[in-house]
Amino acid sequence: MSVAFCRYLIDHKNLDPVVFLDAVDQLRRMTPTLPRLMLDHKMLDHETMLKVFAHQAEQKISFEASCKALGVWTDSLESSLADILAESHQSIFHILLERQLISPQDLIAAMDEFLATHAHVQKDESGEAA
Amino acid sequence: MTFFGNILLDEKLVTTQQLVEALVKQSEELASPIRICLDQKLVAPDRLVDAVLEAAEQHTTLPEMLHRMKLVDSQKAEQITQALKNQRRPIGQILVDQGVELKNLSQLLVRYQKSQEQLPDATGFEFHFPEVHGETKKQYLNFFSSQFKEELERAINQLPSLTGFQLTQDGAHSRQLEDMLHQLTAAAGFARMEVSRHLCERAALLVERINMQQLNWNETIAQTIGRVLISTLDVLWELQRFIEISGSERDFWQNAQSRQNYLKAFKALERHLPS
Repeated sequence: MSVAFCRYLIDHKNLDPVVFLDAVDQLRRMTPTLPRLMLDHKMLDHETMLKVFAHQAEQKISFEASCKALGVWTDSLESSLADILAESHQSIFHILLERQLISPQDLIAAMDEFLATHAHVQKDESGEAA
Repeated sequence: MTFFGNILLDEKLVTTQQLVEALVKQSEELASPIRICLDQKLVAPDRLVDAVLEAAEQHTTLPEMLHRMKLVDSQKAEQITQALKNQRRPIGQILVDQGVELKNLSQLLVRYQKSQEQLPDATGFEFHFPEVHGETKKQYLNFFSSQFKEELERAINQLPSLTGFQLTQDGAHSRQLEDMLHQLTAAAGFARMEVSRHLCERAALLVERINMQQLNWNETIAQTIGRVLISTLDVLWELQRFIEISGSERDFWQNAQSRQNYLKAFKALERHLPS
């Protein structure tokens, strides 16, 4: 929902795209990187981390893709990462509020409008499909 | 492929843990692809929002998504990826900042460079000045201040008056040389800048050799080396002026005179560094 809602805020609530991109960038800086999470939570040992980094550099791929290519990316690892991120991750809306780019009232009102519109669209689509 | 980190491990100068910590740190300091797109006006902000949101949803990178959405061609996507790579802080610099003692860093760097040696080509040269912040930025600005250049020149100009005996016995001269070595090694660490990397490393190595009495020191040698070091500094500062103007080394390399100055200084340093 958040991706579509972000687009909605820009298209319908005059949220400046550049300001929004700045907020996304701030969120990126605040979010721990995958290697940091894996190191701090001891998900991979140092030797394996080094192999993943070397493979990443050689193949010019992402750290995640390198883990997958080397077979160290398991379902349980993915699920642990998702849990950790869910605990520590800030949302883009938190940043928008913090930077006073939108007020809490306007955000709630926009969310209501969006959900109402979105529900209509979903209902129409399911009706057409039927 | 040989990585600098592997050489450090092979030489037992760092542990696996220290290297991993440094690589993780490096991954955290990556520049922002959003910033690069905006600053270089590669994509209109509104379309960039689409790509950013789509990339987040599909767990892919922004350059990849921009290309997939046909907002940039493959060359531009590669340009963004390359800019991100070039702006990474060198791993040696991170290790030094982490307190890892790298006594022979300059020598290792030269060996590493030699293993994949190629002089930069004037065409297709795409090294941008790295985004540096905080202490690194302060060091960088200090290094290229005219005051620092004058201090270095003064120290270099004193070299011919020193005898081998003074070099060994005089703690002040030794400290001065060590300071010079430290500064030049740090400057090499700023590099994604080819010129400074090649020149600083070699100049640092030369100063290290002087300090370790590995050169057959006499007044003539000292005068020659002094001239070599001074001309090296001139090239470094010439490069800095180009970077200040255009933000990249490209113009330096496309200037025939600058290129000639670089090659001259590079060869002169090489002549005094027996392998």
